[in-house]
Amino acid sequence: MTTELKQVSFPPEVLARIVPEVSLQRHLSIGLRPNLRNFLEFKPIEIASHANNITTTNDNVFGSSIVKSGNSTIVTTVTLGVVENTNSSTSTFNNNNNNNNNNNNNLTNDQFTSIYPVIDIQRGRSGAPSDEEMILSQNLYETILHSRLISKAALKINHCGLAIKETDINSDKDNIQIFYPDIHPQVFVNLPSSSSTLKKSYSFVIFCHVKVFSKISTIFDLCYSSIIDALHDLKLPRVYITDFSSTKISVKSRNSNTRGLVGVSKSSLNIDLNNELYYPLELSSEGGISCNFGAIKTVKNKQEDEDITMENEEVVELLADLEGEAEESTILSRISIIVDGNEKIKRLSLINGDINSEISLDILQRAIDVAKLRSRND
Amino acid sequence: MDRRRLLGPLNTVIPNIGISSEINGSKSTPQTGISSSSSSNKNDIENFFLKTGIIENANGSAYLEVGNNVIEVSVFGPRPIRGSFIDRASFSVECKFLPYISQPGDELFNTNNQFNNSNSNTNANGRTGLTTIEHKISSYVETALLPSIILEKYPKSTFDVFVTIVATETPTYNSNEKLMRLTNWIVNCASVALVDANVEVKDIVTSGIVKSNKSGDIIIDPRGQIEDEQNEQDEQDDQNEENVLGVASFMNLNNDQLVGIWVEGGDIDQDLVTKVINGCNDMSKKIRANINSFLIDSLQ
Repeated sequence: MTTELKQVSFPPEVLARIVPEVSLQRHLSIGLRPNLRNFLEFKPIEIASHANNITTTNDNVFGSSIVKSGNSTIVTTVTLGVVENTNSSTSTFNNNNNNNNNNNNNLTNDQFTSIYPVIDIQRGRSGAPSDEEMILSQNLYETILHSRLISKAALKINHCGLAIKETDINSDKDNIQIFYPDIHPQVFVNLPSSSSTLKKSYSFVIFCHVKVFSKISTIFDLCYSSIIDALHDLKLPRVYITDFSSTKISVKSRNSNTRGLVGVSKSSLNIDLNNELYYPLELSSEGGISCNFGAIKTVKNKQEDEDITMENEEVVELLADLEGEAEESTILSRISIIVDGNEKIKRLSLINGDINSEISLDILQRAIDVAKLRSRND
Repeated sequence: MDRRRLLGPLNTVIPNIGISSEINGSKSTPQTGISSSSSSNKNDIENFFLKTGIIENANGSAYLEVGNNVIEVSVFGPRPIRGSFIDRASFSVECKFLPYISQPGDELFNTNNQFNNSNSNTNANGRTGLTTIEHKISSYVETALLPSIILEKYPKSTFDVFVTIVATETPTYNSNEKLMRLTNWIVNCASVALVDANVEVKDIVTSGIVKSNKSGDIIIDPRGQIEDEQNEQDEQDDQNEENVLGVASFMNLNNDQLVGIWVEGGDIDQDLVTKVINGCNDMSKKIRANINSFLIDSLQ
C-alpha cells in the first residue's frame, strides 16, 4: 500500500527561508532580485560628512563621517596618534619633498602609509572582535595602503611648536604661550637649549573607529566610502611640546608592595586646539568608489510556451551590490572593485567560488565598466 | 599587545589634548541647544526625539536624542541559552560609550587613560571591557528595568540590552549631573526598546531627574547651570557641592512602584529624599505620557 504524498506549497517568504537558492532563481527568472532591485542597480548611499557635529563637539576627533544605506548606519571617527620618526625614514621624506610632489609613479610603496581601522559591528555580543571585524579591518588597512592614498610626507609634522610658561609676578598666574618655528621665527633664534627636543621629528598616525549599526549585508563598500569621506573631512592640528609638565606617577617600591607617588618632569606632546591652524590632510588621490558584484547562473525562458522547455538558455548573470540572505548565501562568485575618479582601478578582488557560475572575462569586463560608470556618476 | 585590532605602531604616543594657541587662549565651546532651552519654564521637561525599530538585526531598538545626548539601545532576545535549564530568563544590560567620547566624570575615575596619564600610549579604540562609569550606568539601568520584565514567561532564554552612547552633553555641565541625566534618559530609551522588541513587561519603566539646591528647592529636569546663571563663578562651585541630584525610576501604572533610585551629593535627610522622589515621579509621569502617545501613534 502506498500513500500518495501531497504536494506542499509554501508562501514566498517561507520559501525564501527554507531554500534561498530556489527563491533567488525564481526571482531572477522574472528579471527581479529578492530586494526588488534591477540586476545592476546599487543600493542608494547617503553620506553626511559635514552635517554631523562629532568633530566640533569632541576635541579629540579630527575627522568624521556618517554613511547610511537603507537602515545600515556607519559612524566613522578619526583620532590621532603621534609616532617619532627614525632617522632613515626622515631622509626619505626630504628626498621625496625635493624631487616630486605630483608624480606618484616614482614613489615606492614604503613612502605610503595607511590608517589603523577598528571595525565595531553592533551585533548583540560583547567581547573580542569577531573574525568578520578583524578581516574587514585588515582588508581596509591594506586597501588604503596599496591604493597609495596617504603619503608619509603628508602625515609628517613639519613645525613642532614649543610651549613656554611665563609666571606673571604680579598676579601669580601661569601664562602659557605656544611658539612655532614658522610663525614666530624670531623666538627660535634665541632658543639653542631647546633645539635637541625640536630636532626629533614626528608623524601623525591615523586611527579610525568604525561603528556599524544594523548590519544586514556585506559592508566593505560602505566602510570604505565612510573612511574615505572621513579622510576628506580630516583636518590635522598643530602639535607642540611642553617641557615643564610635571606629573606624578606611581612607582612600585622594590621591597614592598606599596606604591608611592614620584613627581617627574618630562616633555610631552600636546595638540593645539586652535582651529585656525588646522590644515587638511593631503590625499594623493580621490579614493574612489568601491563596488561589489556577484555572478550566478540563471535559466532564462526563451519562450513562454510550456511545451518547449528544452529551449531554455543558461546565462551567468551579473548582480551589483549583493544584499539579503538569499543573495549572500547563494552567490559565491564575487568581484569587488574600487575605481577612483580618474577611472583607474585601485583594487580588484575576484573569487570564483561557484564552479557552475564562473566569472568569465566578459563578465569581469562588464563589472569593471559598471564600476567605472558609477565612479563617474558619483 | 593586542593582535586582534589594528592599533598602530607600537611606539605610537597619544598626544594630550592641549590648549589653544589662539590669542584669547580659551577655546569657545559650542553651546548648542542649552541657551535656547533656558528661556523656557523651569519645570518643563526638555524636548526629546525618539524613534524605534532602526536597528534591523536586533529584536527591538530605540534611538533617543535629548539636548546633545544621543543614545541608541538595542534589545537582543529572547535568545536561547546554552547549558543547563533555567526556568526564567536572564537579563543583562551593557552600556558603552563610543571610544572617542570623554565620559562624564572620567577625571574622577581616571578611566580614560588617554586624557589623564601622560605616559600612557593606549589607543582608545583598543579598549576592552567596560569602564567604571559604564559599569555604574549599566548596573543602574539593569536594576531599574529588571522588575518590569516578566522573566517567568521566557525559560531557557536571555535578554541582552546594548546601549551605545553616540554623543554626550558639552562640558558646560557638571560631570555628576551629566552622568545622571544620561542615565535617566537611557532608562527611558531602554524601556521603549523593550516594548519595540515585544518583550512582555509588567509596565513601562520611566524615570526622572531632579536637583535640589541649598535652600531645598527642587528643580525638575535640571539642564546645566541655567538657574545659577546670575551667580558668581566661585559661588556656583560652592553650590555644586551643596546640590543634591537624584534620579529615580518608576512603574507608573503599577502603583508608582519605585524600581531604582540614585541620589548623589550634599547633605541628605529623609525629608529631602521624599522631595527628590516626588519630583522624579512627576517628571517620570510626564515622560510616560509622552511615551504612551508615541507608542499609540506608532501603532496607527
